Amino acid sequence: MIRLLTANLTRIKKSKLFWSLCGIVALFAFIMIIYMIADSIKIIDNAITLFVIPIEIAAAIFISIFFGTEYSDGAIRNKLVVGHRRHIIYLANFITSVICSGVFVLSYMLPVVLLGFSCVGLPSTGAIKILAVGLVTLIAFGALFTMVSMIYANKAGATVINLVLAFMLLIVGYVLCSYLMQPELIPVHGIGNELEYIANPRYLSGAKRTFVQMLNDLLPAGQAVRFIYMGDAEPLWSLPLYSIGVGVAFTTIGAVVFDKKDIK
Amino acid sequence: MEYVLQTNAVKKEYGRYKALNGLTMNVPKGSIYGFVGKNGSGKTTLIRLVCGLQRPTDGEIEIYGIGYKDKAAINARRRMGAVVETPSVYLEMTAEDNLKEQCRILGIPSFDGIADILQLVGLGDTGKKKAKNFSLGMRQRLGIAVALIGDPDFLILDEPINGLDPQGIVEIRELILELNKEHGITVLVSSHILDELSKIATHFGFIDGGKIVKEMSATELESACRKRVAITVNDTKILSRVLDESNVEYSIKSDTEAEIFGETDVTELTLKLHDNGCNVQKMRERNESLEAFYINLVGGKSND
Repeated sequence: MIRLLTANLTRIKKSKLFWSLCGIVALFAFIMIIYMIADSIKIIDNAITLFVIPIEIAAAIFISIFFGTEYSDGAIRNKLVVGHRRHIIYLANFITSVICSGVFVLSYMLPVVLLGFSCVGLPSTGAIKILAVGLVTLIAFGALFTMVSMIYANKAGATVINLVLAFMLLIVGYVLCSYLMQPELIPVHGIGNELEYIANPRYLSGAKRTFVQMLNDLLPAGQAVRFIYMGDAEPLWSLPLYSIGVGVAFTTIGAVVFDKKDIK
Repeated sequence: MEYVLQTNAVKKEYGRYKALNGLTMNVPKGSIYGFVGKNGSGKTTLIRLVCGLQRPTDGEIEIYGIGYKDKAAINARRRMGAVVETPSVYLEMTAEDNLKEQCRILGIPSFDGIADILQLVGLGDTGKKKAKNFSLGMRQRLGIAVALIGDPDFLILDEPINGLDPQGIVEIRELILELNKEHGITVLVSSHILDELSKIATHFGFIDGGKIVKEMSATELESACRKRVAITVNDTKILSRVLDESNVEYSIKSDTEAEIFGETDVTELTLKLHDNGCNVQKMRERNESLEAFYINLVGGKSND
């Protein structure tokens, strides 16, 4: 395992794509901070609650291309021929993807901390909580992208699938969040204290609300969107458990399929 | 005889298609084993199974006497290297970096032997040139260099001369011979070009329809393909005596049929047989080429 991780990380260290994506993610955060400074915004929380989305997209691109290259260049055969077990290869790749996401987070946070904290403001406790929970969300994303890349041997195909998944899941997360954020009552007429309210027909209640809430919390992208629109609203601390569950499920499925896969 | 690789009744099915159909083969230690078969006969499939890229549907594969399901098979695999179909190299890396990467995969802490391996395969002066800019022959040699990391004593090369120019073919041939003779590496080399394999192989396995149809040594193959005269006489005992007196190599097939190897002076032989009271009924020259031998072995067109 250590040998495979060392080999993967050495390749990453020399990868132009990896460092370019780190640069793009850092630039994204930098531009956001500049806008905040220009608009005289004094709360940096928005820059932090958003962090999962750009890193998720960068991870989708990098993980697909990095592991896809093992198939396209045939180098995965070198690992198998010399006797590395398949589930160890899979696990090493999953850990590699998590480490990559970690470095992307550091790249994103660099301008936030260096520029944002001094020129915009310090983050709230809620934003720090979201940062901690979001890190676990990224592990679930890593598990998903690793699964696709390891099962589907076509580099271009895996990249397209992972990117489509990344954006599709964000859209689904946005739709689910918009249902959950519907107010229970909506005003019909009147002004000020004289407003009259009726029940919102789009408000989800009972079992439906529980189901949509659970689905949104299960989806890593649902969590990412939730951080932006709902902040650290409870139940925030159950989200890492969902992410770990989803990550374990994706990794198990991926490792089992990869174990049985005929490699050419 | 000690064997590096033995397979017993190996089958591999892809859906309904049987790529291997009970293949049994034995690769002796120290040999260059020419694995010959036409395209689609199952050569690459078997190599994939031996390398652990795929699992057999049925049958047994033993590397150094250890079955592929055995936990110790992992250690046995560490003693082998392979180039399956295309060379497995990172195209964005230099030759040296590719070898270093394989060292890391194998957990070899030192890169000391890399320069020697690159020199051995003739890539010692490629410097910072990336593998994507290499010629096909150079990539093939780099693939072999990667397979040589870890000092294996069994090397599998799948169609190593495919697509190479004559110069490249000669280089690969010489490299295989050097690895076998000077480094004692057993080499399993597959190809559909029998003529090329016949220049280096010490043993042959002929595969057709997912089965080994014949295994033989190079000496046996040479003898099977030798120039000879098939002769039919009324008494092979007399023929045998005459040939012994003339110190000619021959093989008696029956009471009336025999084969005489090498160049034969037909007139002189006929006169001698006549003097000894032996009648020559039929005489025909046979000069079977390697290709003809192979076609006869696998049944020619009927198998296409």
